Amino acid sequence: MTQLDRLSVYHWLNAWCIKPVGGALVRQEPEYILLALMGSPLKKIMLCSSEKEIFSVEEQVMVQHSVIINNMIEDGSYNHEESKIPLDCVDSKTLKKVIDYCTHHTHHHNDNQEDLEAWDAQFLNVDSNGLYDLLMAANYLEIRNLLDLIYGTIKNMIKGKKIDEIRRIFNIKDHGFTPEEEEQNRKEYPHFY
Amino acid sequence: MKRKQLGMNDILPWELIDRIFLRVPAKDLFRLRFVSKLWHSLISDRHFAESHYNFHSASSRSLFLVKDYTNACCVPLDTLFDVAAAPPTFKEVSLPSRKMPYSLFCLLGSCRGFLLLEEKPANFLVIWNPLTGSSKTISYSHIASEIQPDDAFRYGFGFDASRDDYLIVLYWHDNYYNEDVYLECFSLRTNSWIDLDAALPKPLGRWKQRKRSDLFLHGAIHWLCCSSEDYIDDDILIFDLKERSFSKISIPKQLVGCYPIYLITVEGCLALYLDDKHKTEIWVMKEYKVSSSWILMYDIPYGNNVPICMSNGSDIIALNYTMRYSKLRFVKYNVIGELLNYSPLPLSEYYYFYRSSCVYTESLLPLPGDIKDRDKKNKTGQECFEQHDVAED
Repeated sequence: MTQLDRLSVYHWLNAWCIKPVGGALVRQEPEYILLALMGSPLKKIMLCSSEKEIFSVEEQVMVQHSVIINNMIEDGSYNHEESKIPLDCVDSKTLKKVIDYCTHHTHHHNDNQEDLEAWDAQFLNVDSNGLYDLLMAANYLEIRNLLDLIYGTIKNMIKGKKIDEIRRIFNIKDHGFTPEEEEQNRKEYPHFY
Repeated sequence: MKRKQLGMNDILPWELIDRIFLRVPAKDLFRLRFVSKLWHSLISDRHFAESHYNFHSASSRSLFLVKDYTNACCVPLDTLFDVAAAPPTFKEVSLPSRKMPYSLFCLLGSCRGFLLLEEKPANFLVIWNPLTGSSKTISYSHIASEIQPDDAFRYGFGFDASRDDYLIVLYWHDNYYNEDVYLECFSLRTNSWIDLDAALPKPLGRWKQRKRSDLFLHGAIHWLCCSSEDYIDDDILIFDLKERSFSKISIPKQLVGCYPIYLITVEGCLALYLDDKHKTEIWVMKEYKVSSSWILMYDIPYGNNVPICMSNGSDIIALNYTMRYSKLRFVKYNVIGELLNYSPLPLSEYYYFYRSSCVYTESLLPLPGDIKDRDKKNKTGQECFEQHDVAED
C-alpha cells in the first residue's frame, strides 16, 4: 500500500465522488473507492491506436468513462508494468480526442453545467466524418456520456430539416431509390423535400 | 473512393444509425424514410417502430384536440408552460374523411399512437394514426340499429401484446330503464367481433356519468361502473386483454356517491378525479390494484378541469373550460392547489368539450396486417397525411 498523504486522499475523493458528468451519472462502487485509496492516484495506462501509436493516460480517467477499459482493468487482464490496451478500431486522431474528452470531464466535473456544455459544443465542432469516427469509438469503448452527447448532436442536425438538405449534410450521394420511385416520392410529398 | 466522398450511410454501421433514429421524434422520422433506401428500411421496420414508441412513450406525449368537423390540432405536452415562456407549439391536423357528410368525430381514446374516433350519427368507429395516416373503419350498425340515445355506448380501446392485436370494446344498455347491459369486443387482427359472454361478470355494472371514462393501462381496459341498485359509481371494472377476463377494484371510500368522477392516469398510475364545477380532487392509486394505496394527491379549489399530466414532478397541468365565457385554456396547479399559470388556447370555436381531447404519443406503429398491404394500396396524398381506407367490417 503506497503512502497516502492528505493531498492524495483529497485527490481521490474528488475523483470518485458521485457527480453528474456530461449529463450522465457516474456512480462508483465502494470497492472502487477502496481500491482507489490503495493505489497511486496518478497511475497510468497505455492505449494503442490502430496506427500503433501509444497514448499514456491516467487510469482513473479511462476507468471512470469507458466500460470496456474498466472491465479490462477490473478482471485483471491488464498488467500495469507491461501491457498496452490495443484499440484496433480507433485511429490516433480519434483516440486523442476521446482521451481529451474523458480527461476534461474527470478533472472538470465540478464545473457548472453551462461551462461543461460549452466545452462539449466546442469539442464536437468537427466535420461529419470526424463525428462518425468519434461515435464509433465511443460505441466501441462504451463511453455512455460521450455517446449520448453525439447522438443528441446528430439528432439535432437531423431534426426539422428537409430531405435534400439532409442528403447534403450527411453526404448521402446515392439514395438507393430508382428514378421512378424518387420521382413518385417527390410528387406525393413535395414539402418534404 | 476517398474518405471525403463517403457519407454517413457508408461509414456508420446500421446499428448506430438505428440508435440515432431512436432519439429522433416520430414526426421527423416519417419524413426521413425518403432520404435513402437504407433509412426507409430502418425506419419502416416493425421492431424499430416498437422500440421507438417505448423510448418516447413516457416523455414525448402530446394533447390531441378535435376542433370541429374536419380539423384537429396537436400540442406537445412539454411545450406547455415552457420555462423560456415560449408559446406552446400547435400543429394543425386534418381529420380522416367522413363516411357521411355532416357527421362529426368524437375522440374516444388513444393507444400506442392510434386514436379511436367515433363518427356520429353514422355509427362508425375509426382507428387512426395521425402521423402515418393509416386507418381502419369499423361499423357497428349491427348493434346500433336497435338503439339509441346519444350516449348509450361506452368504449374501450387497448392493445393485447400477447397477440399483437388491438381490441375495441363496446358496452351498452338497451334503454335507460332496462337492467340488461351488453358488451362486445372487436379484434383488429382477426377483423371480427369476439364473443365474451362466458367471461362477463353478472350482473355487469351500469354507469351514470355522461362523459366517457375508459382507460387503457397495464394491458387492461378500465371503466367506472356501479353495481348497486342506487346507481352510484363505486367500482372500477377491469378487462384484461391477454386473459380476456374481468375483475374489479374499489374506488376510495371518500368518493363513493360523489359525482361526477372520471378515470385518468397520473405518472403511469391509475387515478380518479372528481370535478364538481367548484373543486377538483385527484386521487391516485399508488400501487396498482391495491385499494389501500389510494391517496388524495391534489385538492384544487377550482372546477371545470380535465387533468392532463404532471409537470416538474409535483405540479399538475389541466385543461380548463370556463363555461361562462366559453373559454378553453391550459392551467397549471401546484401540489397544494394554487393556480400557478394559465395559457389560453387559440381556438375560436369548440364543440363538445368533454369528448374531444386526449393525451397520446406519436408513433410509427402499423396496424396489424398493415405491412403486407402497404405497398399495394393506392395512396391519395392529403397534406402530410396519406390515408388508406381498409375494408370495413
